[in-house]
Amino acid sequence: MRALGLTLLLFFSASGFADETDAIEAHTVVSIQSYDSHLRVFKVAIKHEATGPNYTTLKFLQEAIESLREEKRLKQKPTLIIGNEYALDHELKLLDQMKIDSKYKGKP
Amino acid sequence: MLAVLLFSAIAVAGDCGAPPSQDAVAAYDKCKDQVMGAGGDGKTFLVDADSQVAWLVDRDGTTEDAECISPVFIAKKSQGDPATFGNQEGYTPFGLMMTYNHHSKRKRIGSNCLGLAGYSTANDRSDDSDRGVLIHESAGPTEGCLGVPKGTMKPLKEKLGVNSPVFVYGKNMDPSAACDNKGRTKRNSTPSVPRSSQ
Repeated sequence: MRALGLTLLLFFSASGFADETDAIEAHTVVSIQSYDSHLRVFKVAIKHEATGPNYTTLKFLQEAIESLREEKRLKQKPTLIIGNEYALDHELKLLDQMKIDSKYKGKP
Repeated sequence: MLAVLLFSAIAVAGDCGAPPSQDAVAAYDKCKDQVMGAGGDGKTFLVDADSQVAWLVDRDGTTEDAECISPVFIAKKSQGDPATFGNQEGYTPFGLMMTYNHHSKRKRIGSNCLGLAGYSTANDRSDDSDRGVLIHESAGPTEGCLGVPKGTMKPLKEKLGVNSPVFVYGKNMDPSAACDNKGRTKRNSTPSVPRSSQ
């Protein structure tokens, strides 16, 4: 039984989170919490939901929030939108949480 | 069937160490009278945040047939032995909560989760803003939710059900705030009916 359990765990680990894409549903209200200039990723919070951390890119944000597409200064100054809240026009694609977290672990 | 088998396998995989600590059970015992008449399937999800292990115990606190899940992730800022609790963003709250149906805006989670309604000073913010703390599958530390390993949420949801108690214990918690019911009083709800499902 124990061996079977471990086999099953290995199976699920191998087919696990890393290969799945994740996203936040359209029409959800999100707030932009922070930006990491080294990794070039934003941390986004879902309003009234403590799930996360949710990491995404400027490209994905602009795909999901139409009003950000015209904001030319964002590439030079991504921190302009920190603290802002937006209702998503389209789903917001997310980066793999584990990959980002592992990069954070490597930082001093 | 496979999911149930996997849950059982995790429960006997040997990663949980000892059964729930006497301190964790004793802390729950002080609160259990308030939830003995609650709905659900007669189980309580007892989480030891210090060791990041959780047990599905009988509602009355009996641990003889307890099944465990390990690891149970908590907020990154809360991790440690002892865990650091909080009800602000980025921390996991402690004490007595009740499960309710929830649909997450995160597509990977969807309905494969349980909402946690805070009932005490330690975990209720229904007066101004609802944090939306959930139990959901996670591969690492959370922002405040309880994260269970992949493949365990569905069987846990089936075995625990909605309107069931979840008790988050840690050595650092304030026992007087764990089940003072300040949140429930504000919602003007009865013990068996937590906040309406979302």
